[in-house]
Amino acid sequence: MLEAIGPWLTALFILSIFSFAYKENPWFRFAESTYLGIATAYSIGFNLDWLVNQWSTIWSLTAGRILLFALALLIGLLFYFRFSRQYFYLYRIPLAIGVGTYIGLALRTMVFAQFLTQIRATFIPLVAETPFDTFNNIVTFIMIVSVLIYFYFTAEHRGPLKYTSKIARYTMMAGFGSAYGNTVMTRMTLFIGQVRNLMMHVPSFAVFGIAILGSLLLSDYMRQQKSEGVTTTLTRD
Amino acid sequence: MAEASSEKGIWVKLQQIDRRVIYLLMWIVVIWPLINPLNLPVGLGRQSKEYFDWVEDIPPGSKVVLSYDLSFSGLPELGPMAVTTLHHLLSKDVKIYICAYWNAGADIASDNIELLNPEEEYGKVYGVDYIHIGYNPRSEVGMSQFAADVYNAFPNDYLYNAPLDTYEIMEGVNGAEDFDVLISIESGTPGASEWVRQWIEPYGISFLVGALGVSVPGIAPYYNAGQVKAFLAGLRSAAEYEMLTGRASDAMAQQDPLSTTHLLVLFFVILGNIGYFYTRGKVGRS
Repeated sequence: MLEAIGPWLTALFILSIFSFAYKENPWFRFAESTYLGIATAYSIGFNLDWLVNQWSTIWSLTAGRILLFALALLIGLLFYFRFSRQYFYLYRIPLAIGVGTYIGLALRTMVFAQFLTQIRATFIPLVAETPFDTFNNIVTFIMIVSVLIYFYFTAEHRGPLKYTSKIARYTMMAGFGSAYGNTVMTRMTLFIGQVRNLMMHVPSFAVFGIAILGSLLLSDYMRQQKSEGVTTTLTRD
Repeated sequence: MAEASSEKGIWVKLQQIDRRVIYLLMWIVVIWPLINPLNLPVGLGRQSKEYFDWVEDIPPGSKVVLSYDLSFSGLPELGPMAVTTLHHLLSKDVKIYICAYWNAGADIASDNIELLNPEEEYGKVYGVDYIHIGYNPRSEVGMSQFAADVYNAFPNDYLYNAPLDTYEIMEGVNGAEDFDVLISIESGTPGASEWVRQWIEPYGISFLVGALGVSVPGIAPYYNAGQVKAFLAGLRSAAEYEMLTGRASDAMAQQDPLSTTHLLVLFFVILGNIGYFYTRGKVGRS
Protein backbone atom coordinates (compact mmCIF):
# COMPACT_ATOMS: atom_id res chain seq x y z
CA MET A 1 0.00 0.00 0.00
CA LEU A 2 2.70 2.43 1.12
CA GLU A 3 4.80 1.53 -1.92
CA ALA A 4 1.89 2.46 -4.18
CA ILE A 5 1.15 5.77 -2.42
CA GLY A 6 4.81 6.76 -1.88
CA PRO A 7 5.65 7.96 -5.42
CA TRP A 8 2.39 9.94 -5.61
CA LEU A 9 3.08 11.70 -2.31
CA THR A 10 6.67 12.35 -3.39
CA ALA A 11 5.53 13.91 -6.66
CA LEU A 12 2.81 15.98 -4.95
CA PHE A 13 5.19 17.48 -2.39
CA ILE A 14 8.17 18.02 -4.69
CA LEU A 15 6.05 19.76 -7.32
CA SER A 16 4.11 21.76 -4.70
CA ILE A 17 7.36 23.12 -3.31
CA PHE A 18 8.72 23.81 -6.81
CA SER A 19 5.51 25.69 -7.67
CA PHE A 20 6.93 28.58 -5.63
CA ALA A 21 9.19 29.28 -8.61
CA TYR A 22 6.02 30.37 -10.44
CA LYS A 23 4.63 32.39 -7.55
CA GLU A 24 3.47 32.13 -3.94
CA ASN A 25 0.41 29.83 -3.95
CA PRO A 26 -1.71 27.46 -1.80
CA TRP A 27 0.05 24.32 -3.13
CA PHE A 28 3.36 25.66 -1.81
CA ARG A 29 1.91 26.75 1.53
CA PHE A 30 0.29 23.35 2.04
CA ALA A 31 3.56 21.49 1.32
CA GLU A 32 5.62 23.90 3.41
CA SER A 33 3.35 23.61 6.47
CA THR A 34 3.16 19.83 6.17
CA TYR A 35 6.93 19.57 5.91
CA LEU A 36 7.48 21.78 8.94
CA GLY A 37 5.03 19.73 10.99
CA ILE A 38 6.53 16.39 9.98
CA ALA A 39 10.14 17.56 10.42
CA THR A 40 9.39 18.92 13.89
CA ALA A 41 7.55 15.76 14.94
CA TYR A 42 10.38 13.59 13.55
CA SER A 43 12.96 15.55 15.50
CA ILE A 44 10.97 15.52 18.76
CA GLY A 45 10.22 11.80 18.44
CA PHE A 46 13.86 10.98 17.77
CA ASN A 47 15.16 13.05 20.69
CA LEU A 48 12.51 11.69 23.10
CA ASP A 49 13.46 8.18 22.09
CA TRP A 50 17.11 9.01 22.82
CA LEU A 51 16.14 10.46 26.22
CA VAL A 52 14.15 7.35 27.16
CA ASN A 53 17.09 5.22 26.08
CA GLN A 54 19.47 7.28 28.23
CA TRP A 55 17.11 6.95 31.19
CA SER A 56 16.74 3.19 30.96
CA THR A 57 20.42 2.46 30.32
CA ILE A 58 22.33 5.00 32.42
CA TRP A 59 20.32 7.35 34.58
CA SER A 60 17.84 5.00 36.28
CA LEU A 61 20.51 2.71 37.72
CA THR A 62 21.30 4.48 41.03
CA ALA A 63 19.49 6.94 43.32
CA GLY A 64 22.17 9.59 42.73
CA ARG A 65 21.77 9.38 38.96
CA ILE A 66 17.96 9.52 39.22
CA LEU A 67 18.31 12.72 41.23
CA LEU A 68 20.68 14.25 38.67
CA PHE A 69 18.39 13.25 35.81
CA ALA A 70 15.36 14.80 37.57
CA LEU A 71 17.34 17.98 38.22
CA ALA A 72 18.39 18.20 34.56
CA LEU A 73 14.77 17.70 33.45
CA LEU A 74 13.55 20.42 35.83
CA ILE A 75 16.19 22.85 34.56
CA GLY A 76 15.22 21.92 31.00
CA LEU A 77 11.55 22.66 31.73
CA LEU A 78 12.53 26.22 32.67
CA PHE A 79 12.84 26.84 28.91
CA TYR A 80 9.04 27.09 28.83
CA PHE A 81 9.13 30.28 30.91
CA ARG A 82 10.06 31.99 27.67
CA PHE A 83 6.31 32.28 27.16
CA SER A 84 5.73 34.03 30.50
CA ARG A 85 6.32 37.76 30.84
CA GLN A 86 6.46 37.57 34.63
CA TYR A 87 8.96 34.69 34.89
CA PHE A 88 10.85 35.22 31.66
CA TYR A 89 14.14 35.52 33.58
CA LEU A 90 13.92 31.84 34.58
CA TYR A 91 14.25 30.89 30.92
CA ARG A 92 17.75 32.37 30.97
CA ILE A 93 19.02 29.75 33.47
CA PRO A 94 19.01 26.69 31.15
CA LEU A 95 20.06 28.93 28.27
CA ALA A 96 23.07 30.18 30.23
CA ILE A 97 24.04 26.62 31.23
CA GLY A 98 23.81 25.43 27.61
CA VAL A 99 25.70 28.38 26.14
CA GLY A 100 28.33 28.27 28.88
CA THR A 101 28.98 24.55 28.49
CA TYR A 102 29.15 24.78 24.73
CA ILE A 103 31.47 27.78 24.66
CA GLY A 104 33.73 26.30 27.33
CA LEU A 105 33.99 23.03 25.48
CA ALA A 106 34.62 24.67 22.10
CA LEU A 107 37.15 27.21 23.42
CA ARG A 108 39.16 24.42 25.03
CA THR A 109 40.62 23.48 21.65
CA MET A 110 39.47 26.27 19.36
CA VAL A 111 42.65 28.32 19.86
CA PHE A 112 44.72 25.40 18.59
CA ALA A 113 42.30 23.87 16.07
CA GLN A 114 41.12 27.00 14.35
CA PHE A 115 43.75 29.61 15.07
CA LEU A 116 47.30 28.45 15.79
CA THR A 117 47.26 25.44 13.45
CA GLN A 118 45.79 27.57 10.68
CA ILE A 119 48.48 30.22 11.14
CA ARG A 120 51.18 27.55 11.20
CA ALA A 121 49.82 26.17 7.90
CA THR A 122 50.62 29.50 6.22
CA PHE A 123 54.32 29.24 7.13
CA ILE A 124 55.41 27.87 3.78
CA PRO A 125 58.83 27.97 2.03
CA LEU A 126 58.93 30.57 -0.71
CA VAL A 127 61.30 28.38 -2.71
CA ALA A 128 59.80 24.90 -3.09
CA GLU A 129 60.83 21.71 -4.88
CA THR A 130 59.12 22.45 -8.20
CA PRO A 131 58.72 25.81 -9.97
CA PHE A 132 54.94 25.41 -9.85
CA ASP A 133 54.97 24.92 -6.06
CA THR A 134 57.31 27.91 -5.68
CA PHE A 135 54.91 30.06 -7.70
CA ASN A 136 51.96 28.71 -5.69
CA ASN A 137 53.64 29.46 -2.36
CA ILE A 138 54.65 32.99 -3.37
CA VAL A 139 51.12 33.78 -4.58
CA THR A 140 49.67 32.32 -1.36
CA PHE A 141 52.05 34.41 0.75
CA ILE A 142 51.21 37.64 -1.11
CA MET A 143 47.47 36.96 -0.88
CA ILE A 144 47.49 36.14 2.84
CA VAL A 145 49.54 39.22 3.75
CA SER A 146 47.38 41.45 1.50
CA VAL A 147 44.09 40.23 2.95
CA LEU A 148 45.38 40.63 6.50
CA ILE A 149 46.44 44.22 5.71
CA TYR A 150 43.06 44.88 4.05
CA PHE A 151 41.37 44.43 7.44
CA TYR A 152 43.81 46.77 9.17
CA PHE A 153 41.72 49.90 9.57
CA THR A 154 43.95 52.08 11.75
CA ALA A 155 45.75 53.67 8.80
CA GLU A 156 44.14 54.89 5.59
CA HIS A 157 44.81 52.61 2.62
CA ARG A 158 47.03 55.02 0.64
CA GLY A 159 50.47 54.69 -0.87
CA PRO A 160 51.77 51.09 -0.81
CA LEU A 161 48.72 49.99 1.19
CA LYS A 162 46.53 50.97 -1.79
CA TYR A 163 48.16 48.22 -3.87
CA THR A 164 47.94 45.52 -1.19
CA SER A 165 44.33 46.53 -0.69
CA LYS A 166 43.65 45.98 -4.39
CA ILE A 167 45.37 42.57 -4.37
CA ALA A 168 43.28 41.67 -1.30
CA ARG A 169 40.07 42.64 -3.09
CA TYR A 170 40.92 40.44 -6.08
CA THR A 171 41.92 37.61 -3.74
CA MET A 172 38.61 37.77 -1.91
CA MET A 173 36.70 38.05 -5.20
CA ALA A 174 38.39 34.83 -6.34
CA GLY A 175 37.37 33.22 -3.04
CA PHE A 176 33.76 34.39 -3.42
CA GLY A 177 33.73 33.13 -7.00
CA SER A 178 34.92 29.71 -5.89
CA ALA A 179 32.28 29.67 -3.14
CA TYR A 180 29.61 30.67 -5.66
CA GLY A 181 30.65 27.88 -8.05
CA ASN A 182 30.44 25.30 -5.28
CA THR A 183 27.09 26.69 -4.16
CA VAL A 184 25.73 26.34 -7.70
CA MET A 185 26.87 22.70 -7.75
CA THR A 186 25.12 21.95 -4.44
CA ARG A 187 21.87 23.67 -5.43
CA MET A 188 21.83 22.03 -8.87
CA THR A 189 22.46 18.63 -7.28
CA LEU A 190 19.47 19.11 -5.00
CA PHE A 191 17.34 20.00 -8.02
CA ILE A 192 18.65 17.12 -10.15
CA GLY A 193 18.08 14.67 -7.26
CA GLN A 194 14.43 15.66 -6.98
CA VAL A 195 13.87 15.57 -10.75
CA ARG A 196 15.35 12.05 -10.78
CA ASN A 197 12.90 11.08 -8.04
CA LEU A 198 10.05 12.41 -10.18
CA MET A 199 11.28 10.64 -13.30
CA MET A 200 11.24 7.31 -11.50
CA HIS A 201 7.42 7.43 -11.51
CA VAL A 202 6.27 9.33 -14.59
CA PRO A 203 2.44 8.98 -14.09
CA SER A 204 2.49 10.80 -10.72
CA PHE A 205 4.90 13.41 -12.14
CA ALA A 206 2.61 14.02 -15.13
CA VAL A 207 -0.66 14.08 -13.15
CA PHE A 208 0.52 16.46 -10.42
CA GLY A 209 2.60 18.52 -12.86
CA ILE A 210 -0.44 19.17 -15.04
CA ALA A 211 -2.74 19.68 -12.02
CA ILE A 212 -0.48 22.18 -10.23
CA LEU A 213 0.69 24.13 -13.28
CA GLY A 214 -2.84 24.06 -14.76
CA SER A 215 -4.40 25.40 -11.56
CA LEU A 216 -1.81 28.21 -11.34
CA LEU A 217 -2.30 29.24 -14.96
CA LEU A 218 -6.09 29.05 -14.60
CA SER A 219 -6.07 31.18 -11.47
CA ASP A 220 -3.88 33.77 -13.25
CA TYR A 221 -6.20 33.75 -16.26
CA MET A 222 -9.31 34.20 -14.09
CA ARG A 223 -7.69 37.02 -12.14
CA GLN A 224 -6.74 38.72 -15.40
CA GLN A 225 -10.29 38.35 -16.76
CA LYS A 226 -11.68 39.78 -13.56
CA SER A 227 -9.37 42.79 -13.62
CA GLU A 228 -10.15 43.41 -17.33
CA GLY A 229 -13.87 43.25 -16.48
CA VAL A 230 -13.41 45.87 -13.76
CA THR A 231 -11.43 48.11 -16.16
CA THR A 232 -14.14 47.83 -18.85
CA THR A 233 -16.89 48.73 -16.34
CA LEU A 234 -14.92 51.73 -15.08
CA THR A 235 -14.31 52.95 -18.68
CA ARG A 236 -18.02 52.58 -19.52
CA ASP A 237 -18.99 54.58 -16.43
CA MET B 1 19.39 57.22 -32.34
CA ALA B 2 16.26 55.10 -32.23
CA GLU B 3 18.31 52.09 -33.36
CA ALA B 4 20.79 52.60 -30.53
CA SER B 5 17.96 52.87 -28.04
CA SER B 6 16.36 49.66 -29.30
CA GLU B 7 19.75 47.86 -29.14
CA LYS B 8 20.13 48.97 -25.56
CA GLY B 9 16.56 47.82 -24.92
CA ILE B 10 17.40 44.30 -25.98
CA TRP B 11 20.32 44.14 -23.55
CA VAL B 12 18.22 45.59 -20.75
CA LYS B 13 15.48 43.04 -21.51
CA LEU B 14 18.01 40.20 -21.52
CA GLN B 15 19.09 41.22 -18.04
CA GLN B 16 15.51 41.15 -16.87
CA ILE B 17 14.47 37.73 -18.17
CA ASP B 18 11.50 36.41 -16.19
CA ARG B 19 12.81 33.93 -13.61
CA ARG B 20 10.10 31.47 -14.71
CA VAL B 21 11.73 31.25 -18.14
CA ILE B 22 15.06 30.42 -16.45
CA TYR B 23 13.38 27.75 -14.28
CA LEU B 24 11.71 26.26 -17.35
CA LEU B 25 15.05 26.08 -19.17
CA MET B 26 16.55 24.50 -16.05
CA TRP B 27 13.89 21.77 -16.09
CA ILE B 28 14.61 21.12 -19.78
CA VAL B 29 18.39 20.85 -19.37
CA VAL B 30 17.94 18.43 -16.45
CA ILE B 31 15.22 16.21 -17.93
CA TRP B 32 16.74 16.03 -21.40
CA PRO B 33 20.06 14.30 -20.42
CA LEU B 34 18.21 12.07 -17.94
CA ILE B 35 16.07 10.73 -20.79
CA ASN B 36 18.89 10.72 -23.38
CA PRO B 37 22.20 10.29 -21.51
CA LEU B 38 25.01 12.24 -23.16
CA ASN B 39 27.73 10.13 -21.51
CA LEU B 40 30.02 13.13 -21.12
CA PRO B 41 33.50 12.07 -19.95
CA VAL B 42 34.27 12.27 -16.22
CA GLY B 43 37.94 12.91 -15.46
CA LEU B 44 39.62 12.07 -12.19
CA GLY B 45 40.49 14.91 -9.82
CA ARG B 46 43.28 15.03 -7.25
CA GLN B 47 40.90 15.30 -4.28
CA SER B 48 38.88 12.17 -4.97
CA LYS B 49 42.07 10.23 -5.77
CA GLU B 50 43.56 11.30 -2.42
CA TYR B 51 40.40 10.31 -0.56
CA PHE B 52 40.33 6.93 -2.33
CA ASP B 53 44.03 6.32 -1.55
CA TRP B 54 43.53 7.19 2.11
CA VAL B 55 40.68 4.72 2.53
CA GLU B 56 42.50 2.14 0.42
CA ASP B 57 45.64 2.42 2.58
CA ILE B 58 43.92 2.00 5.95
CA PRO B 59 45.84 -0.92 7.53
CA PRO B 60 43.97 -4.21 8.18
CA GLY B 61 42.38 -4.43 11.63
CA SER B 62 42.04 -0.63 11.97
CA LYS B 63 39.03 0.83 13.75
CA VAL B 64 37.16 3.36 11.62
CA VAL B 65 34.35 5.66 12.75
CA LEU B 66 31.94 6.59 9.96
CA SER B 67 29.72 9.46 11.07
CA TYR B 68 26.54 10.30 9.15
CA ASP B 69 26.28 14.03 9.88
CA LEU B 70 23.65 14.76 7.29
CA SER B 71 19.94 15.15 6.77
CA PHE B 72 17.56 14.19 3.96
CA SER B 73 18.09 17.49 2.14
CA GLY B 74 21.78 16.67 1.70
CA LEU B 75 21.09 13.20 0.33
CA PRO B 76 21.37 13.89 -3.43
CA GLU B 77 24.97 15.07 -2.97
CA LEU B 78 26.12 13.22 0.14
CA GLY B 79 24.12 9.99 -0.27
CA PRO B 80 26.38 8.60 -3.05
CA MET B 81 29.51 9.52 -1.03
CA ALA B 82 28.19 7.78 2.08
CA VAL B 83 27.19 4.60 0.22
CA THR B 84 30.49 4.42 -1.68
CA THR B 85 32.55 5.06 1.46
CA LEU B 86 30.67 2.35 3.35
CA HIS B 87 31.08 -0.01 0.39
CA HIS B 88 34.81 0.74 0.25
CA LEU B 89 35.22 0.16 4.00
CA LEU B 90 33.19 -3.06 3.91
CA SER B 91 35.46 -4.31 1.13
CA LYS B 92 38.42 -3.98 3.49
CA ASP B 93 39.51 -5.80 6.62
CA VAL B 94 38.64 -3.00 9.05
CA LYS B 95 36.21 -2.57 11.94
CA ILE B 96 33.46 -0.05 11.16
CA TYR B 97 31.64 2.00 13.81
CA ILE B 98 28.72 3.91 12.28
CA CYS B 99 27.24 6.83 14.22
CA ALA B 100 25.18 9.97 13.56
CA TYR B 101 25.01 13.46 15.00
CA TRP B 102 22.05 14.49 12.82
CA ASN B 103 18.84 12.61 13.61
CA ALA B 104 18.11 11.74 9.97
CA GLY B 105 21.68 10.48 9.63
CA ALA B 106 20.93 7.44 11.81
CA ASP B 107 18.10 6.33 9.51
CA ILE B 108 20.10 7.09 6.36
CA ALA B 109 22.91 4.89 7.72
CA SER B 110 20.44 2.07 8.40
CA ASP B 111 19.16 2.37 4.83
CA ASN B 112 22.71 2.20 3.47
CA ILE B 113 23.44 -0.90 5.52
CA GLU B 114 20.25 -2.51 4.19
CA LEU B 115 21.14 -1.47 0.63
CA LEU B 116 24.67 -2.89 0.74
CA ASN B 117 23.69 -6.00 2.73
CA PRO B 118 27.11 -6.55 4.40
CA GLU B 119 26.34 -10.12 5.52
CA GLU B 120 25.48 -11.43 2.04
CA GLU B 121 27.61 -9.20 -0.20
CA TYR B 122 30.78 -8.74 1.87
CA GLY B 123 30.69 -11.64 4.34
CA LYS B 124 30.70 -9.24 7.31
CA VAL B 125 28.99 -9.90 10.63
CA TYR B 126 27.05 -7.25 12.55
CA GLY B 127 28.62 -6.65 15.95
CA VAL B 128 31.88 -8.30 14.89
CA ASP B 129 32.99 -6.41 11.76
CA TYR B 130 30.65 -3.44 11.84
CA ILE B 131 28.13 -1.82 14.15
CA HIS B 132 25.61 1.02 14.05
CA ILE B 133 26.06 2.71 17.42
CA GLY B 134 23.31 5.22 16.72
CA TYR B 135 22.45 8.86 17.16
CA ASN B 136 23.59 11.42 19.71
CA PRO B 137 21.67 14.72 19.76
CA ARG B 138 24.22 16.61 21.83
CA SER B 139 26.15 17.99 18.89
CA GLU B 140 29.70 19.06 19.84
CA VAL B 141 29.12 18.12 23.48
CA GLY B 142 28.15 14.64 22.27
CA MET B 143 31.34 14.38 20.21
CA SER B 144 33.39 15.25 23.26
CA GLN B 145 31.39 12.69 25.25
CA PHE B 146 32.06 10.04 22.57
CA ALA B 147 35.78 10.85 22.71
CA ALA B 148 35.85 10.38 26.49
CA ASP B 149 33.52 7.39 26.85
CA VAL B 150 31.72 5.73 23.96
CA TYR B 151 29.36 3.76 26.26
CA ASN B 152 28.12 6.96 27.86
CA ALA B 153 27.51 8.65 24.51
CA PHE B 154 25.89 5.60 22.89
CA PRO B 155 24.70 3.13 25.56
CA ASN B 156 22.87 0.86 23.08
CA ASP B 157 23.32 0.10 19.39
CA TYR B 158 20.82 1.48 16.89
CA LEU B 159 19.63 -1.59 15.01
CA TYR B 160 18.88 -3.99 17.89
CA ASN B 161 18.90 -1.65 20.93
CA ALA B 162 21.29 -3.99 22.79
CA PRO B 163 23.99 -2.71 25.19
CA LEU B 164 27.13 -1.81 23.25
CA ASP B 165 29.45 -3.74 25.56
CA THR B 166 27.74 -7.01 24.59
CA TYR B 167 29.19 -6.80 21.06
CA GLU B 168 32.53 -8.35 20.19
CA ILE B 169 33.54 -5.36 18.06
CA MET B 170 33.54 -3.15 21.17
CA GLU B 171 36.29 -5.14 22.93
CA GLY B 172 39.11 -2.78 23.88
CA VAL B 173 37.20 0.28 22.73
CA ASN B 174 36.55 3.06 25.23
CA GLY B 175 37.07 6.39 23.55
CA ALA B 176 38.69 8.40 20.78
CA GLU B 177 42.23 7.15 21.38
CA ASP B 178 41.11 3.61 20.47
CA PHE B 179 40.11 4.58 16.93
CA ASP B 180 42.45 5.02 13.95
CA VAL B 181 40.41 6.90 11.36
CA LEU B 182 37.36 9.14 11.50
CA ILE B 183 35.23 9.79 8.40
CA SER B 184 32.44 12.36 8.53
CA ILE B 185 29.92 12.71 5.71
CA GLU B 186 28.74 16.12 6.69
CA SER B 187 26.08 18.69 5.82
CA GLY B 188 27.06 21.50 8.20
CA THR B 189 26.92 21.98 11.95
CA PRO B 190 27.72 19.72 13.75
CA GLY B 191 30.28 18.51 11.25
CA ALA B 192 33.94 18.88 10.35
CA SER B 193 34.72 21.93 12.53
CA GLU B 194 33.30 20.27 15.63
CA TRP B 195 35.12 17.00 14.94
CA VAL B 196 38.39 18.92 14.47
CA ARG B 197 37.91 20.66 17.82
CA GLN B 198 36.88 17.59 19.83
CA TRP B 199 38.69 14.69 18.14
CA ILE B 200 41.37 15.72 15.70
CA GLU B 201 43.24 18.39 17.65
CA PRO B 202 43.24 16.60 21.06
CA TYR B 203 43.73 13.01 19.82
CA GLY B 204 45.45 13.43 16.42
CA ILE B 205 43.25 10.90 14.60
CA SER B 206 43.33 10.80 10.79
CA PHE B 207 40.26 12.62 9.53
CA LEU B 208 38.52 12.31 6.15
CA VAL B 209 35.49 14.34 5.11
CA GLY B 210 32.74 14.02 2.52
CA ALA B 211 31.23 17.47 2.15
CA LEU B 212 28.59 19.36 0.23
CA GLY B 213 30.02 21.53 -2.54
CA VAL B 214 28.82 24.59 -0.67
CA SER B 215 30.88 23.59 2.40
CA VAL B 216 34.18 23.34 0.51
CA PRO B 217 35.46 26.87 1.31
CA GLY B 218 34.94 26.02 4.99
CA ILE B 219 36.75 22.65 4.81
CA ALA B 220 39.70 23.77 2.64
CA PRO B 221 41.60 25.57 5.46
CA TYR B 222 41.52 22.37 7.58
CA TYR B 223 42.84 20.43 4.59
CA ASN B 224 45.65 22.95 4.02
CA ALA B 225 46.57 22.72 7.70
CA GLY B 226 46.66 18.90 7.56
CA GLN B 227 43.79 18.47 10.02
CA VAL B 228 41.68 16.95 7.23
CA LYS B 229 43.75 14.41 5.32
CA ALA B 230 41.47 14.22 2.28
CA PHE B 231 37.98 15.30 1.35
CA LEU B 232 35.32 14.76 -1.27
CA ALA B 233 33.82 18.00 -2.53
CA GLY B 234 30.30 17.69 -3.83
CA LEU B 235 28.67 15.42 -6.35
CA ARG B 236 31.50 15.64 -8.86
CA SER B 237 34.01 14.19 -6.38
CA ALA B 238 31.44 11.57 -5.39
CA ALA B 239 31.18 10.45 -9.03
CA GLU B 240 34.97 10.24 -9.34
CA TYR B 241 35.12 8.22 -6.12
CA GLU B 242 32.47 5.86 -7.51
CA MET B 243 34.63 5.39 -10.61
CA LEU B 244 37.71 4.65 -8.52
CA THR B 245 35.91 2.06 -6.41
CA GLY B 246 34.41 0.48 -9.53
CA ARG B 247 30.87 0.95 -8.29
CA ALA B 248 29.31 3.52 -10.65
CA SER B 249 25.93 4.46 -9.24
CA ASP B 250 23.82 7.52 -8.34
CA ALA B 251 26.57 10.16 -8.55
CA MET B 252 27.69 9.00 -12.01
CA ALA B 253 24.08 8.98 -13.21
CA GLN B 254 23.77 12.66 -12.32
CA GLN B 255 26.90 13.92 -14.07
CA ASP B 256 25.25 14.72 -17.42
CA PRO B 257 22.50 16.94 -15.97
CA LEU B 258 25.08 18.47 -13.62
CA SER B 259 27.17 19.50 -16.64
CA THR B 260 24.21 20.81 -18.66
CA THR B 261 22.87 22.88 -15.73
CA HIS B 262 26.32 24.37 -15.17
CA LEU B 263 26.58 25.26 -18.85
CA LEU B 264 23.20 27.00 -18.60
CA VAL B 265 24.26 28.95 -15.50
CA LEU B 266 27.52 29.88 -17.25
CA PHE B 267 25.57 31.06 -20.30
CA PHE B 268 23.36 33.31 -18.18
CA VAL B 269 26.32 34.67 -16.22
CA ILE B 270 28.11 35.58 -19.48
CA LEU B 271 24.92 37.04 -20.97
CA GLY B 272 24.22 39.07 -17.85
CA ASN B 273 27.77 40.43 -17.76
CA ILE B 274 27.79 41.38 -21.45
CA GLY B 275 24.45 43.14 -20.94
CA TYR B 276 25.70 44.88 -17.83
CA PHE B 277 28.86 46.24 -19.47
CA TYR B 278 27.06 47.16 -22.68
CA THR B 279 24.29 49.14 -20.97
CA ARG B 280 26.70 50.69 -18.48
CA GLY B 281 28.80 52.04 -21.35
CA LYS B 282 25.77 53.52 -23.08
CA VAL B 283 24.53 55.16 -19.91
CA GLY B 284 27.99 56.63 -19.34
CA ARG B 285 28.09 58.23 -22.83
CA SER B 286 24.56 59.67 -22.78
